[in-house]
Amino acid sequence: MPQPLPILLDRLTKTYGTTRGVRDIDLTVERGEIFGFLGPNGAGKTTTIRVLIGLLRPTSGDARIFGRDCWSWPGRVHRDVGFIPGDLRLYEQLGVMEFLRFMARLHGGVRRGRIEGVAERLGLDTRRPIKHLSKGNRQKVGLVQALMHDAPLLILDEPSAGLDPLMEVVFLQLLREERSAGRTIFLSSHNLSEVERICDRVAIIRDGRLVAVEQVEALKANRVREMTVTFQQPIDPGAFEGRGIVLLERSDRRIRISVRGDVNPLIRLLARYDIQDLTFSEPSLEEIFLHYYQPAPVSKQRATA
Amino acid sequence: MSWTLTLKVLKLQAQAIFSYAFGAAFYSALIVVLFQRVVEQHKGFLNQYLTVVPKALLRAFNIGGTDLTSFGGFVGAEYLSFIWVVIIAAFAIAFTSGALAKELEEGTLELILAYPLGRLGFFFSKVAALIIALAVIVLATVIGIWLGAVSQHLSIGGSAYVAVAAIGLAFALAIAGYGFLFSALASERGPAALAAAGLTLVFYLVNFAAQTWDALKGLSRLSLFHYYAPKDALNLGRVDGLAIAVLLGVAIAGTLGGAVVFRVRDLSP
Repeated sequence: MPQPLPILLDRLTKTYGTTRGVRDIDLTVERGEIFGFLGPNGAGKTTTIRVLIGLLRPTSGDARIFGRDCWSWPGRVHRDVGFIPGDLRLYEQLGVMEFLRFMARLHGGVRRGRIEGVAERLGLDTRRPIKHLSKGNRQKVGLVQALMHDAPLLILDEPSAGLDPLMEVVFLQLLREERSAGRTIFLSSHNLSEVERICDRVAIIRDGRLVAVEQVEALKANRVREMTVTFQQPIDPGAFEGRGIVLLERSDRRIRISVRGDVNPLIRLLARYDIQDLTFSEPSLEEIFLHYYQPAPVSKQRATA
Repeated sequence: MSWTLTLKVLKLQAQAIFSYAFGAAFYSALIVVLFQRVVEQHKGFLNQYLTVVPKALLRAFNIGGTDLTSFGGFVGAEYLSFIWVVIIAAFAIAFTSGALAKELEEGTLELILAYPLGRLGFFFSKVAALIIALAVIVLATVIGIWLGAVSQHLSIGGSAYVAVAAIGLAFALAIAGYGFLFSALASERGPAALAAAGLTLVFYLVNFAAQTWDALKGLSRLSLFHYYAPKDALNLGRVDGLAIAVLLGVAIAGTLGGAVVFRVRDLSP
């Protein structure tokens, strides 16, 4: 008998009030993978996660964690889940260690030294009162409580929000270690580069609907990058047209281009010129949607890997 | 339910519980001491005073028809029937509105409900904490009465203490019951507290109206205050079984209603 999937969403729809929810989300997350859930703010990521956590009742469809319905059996489901919400709020009256030990007891206890170990990796001072912590340190408290249970599934809603870039590297390394230990990670983000660095697969959600589910490699291969190049001498901008390159702006010494997929042909072309300056800009999610998913029909696939 | 959560709630509320309990005990002892002094030295004046004060005013303070020269009548009128009600209602409503609606409003609920205790486990852990907290305040009230009585060499039977504790706790639990219901229904603390306080006021006004106008007499049974008679508990050393049943019935119905609402509603800040 096959083992139940860590996450199964089957035509999940949640609408409520005047706030847009999510519609017809089909998604499966496999054991041992890091699955990115990518979308701009307000796209429906947090709504989906709240359904998974059992805070919201699906309007229709199914949300299951390890085969159990998230709405009907939240208490049982949560034994297998480590979670950090997108808008993390902590009990201000407690100290960091008091809070973490309290949460550990609610979960039935944690391995000896586990709290201290994760806190040390993240550089979190557990002796301080929560009310005196910065946003970044509060986020670290949330990350420690999510990771300390060694739960087989981690659901992380915007987990790196508030972390400085160095700490983000440490955090991503921790996630890789969790994956190596056989755990499954469902990570929501609006940060494309973060998702690209850590995830095996990614689902893109927009306006409450799943736009695509892709291997991250495929996403990288097809992504559109924007580049601005300033040359030492005047050039013929027409030389840069074609080969997946689109000229967005042109003058005799400066071009702004977008390039899809493999950048090597462009690099080889640029190598023929004396270049004064070159900048890559990270495409926003909206740009990805505009460049990558239009005008072709959306490449939605059921994510049964 | 989770005793870990119950104990943590009690710890976080310890200062408030201690303050309310200390205040209730201190005021109880003070009133008992005052009773001894007033009744001993001014019994005639007290009776005369009762004939002068408008009956409606006495009813407004929930002490209509009370013999102020009796121990139960005086302590009930001066403290347990009105001031203590305000104290215990304020505590119960603040606690219940903070237990659910405030956690939802402030967003702390989202994390703790992702833990294995489940919604009902969370809910009843808070209920258990409030029952303990109310029991502590009621016990402190009774201890205050006992200390006052001992200091004045008053002989009060043990059954009077048990009876007043029972009716006081049942009354407090009734308020807590609908307090939990409103807290489960609301998404913010303010409306939850306002609804519970408003209903308590309605109960009070209904009782007042029923005592004031004969035509409305039958309405008194619709008010919690009709069943809450601490002066009889102190004087007679017993409580009416029906009164306890009604108060506990309201407590249980309100709490279970709150549990159902909290289990089935969407919880999103």
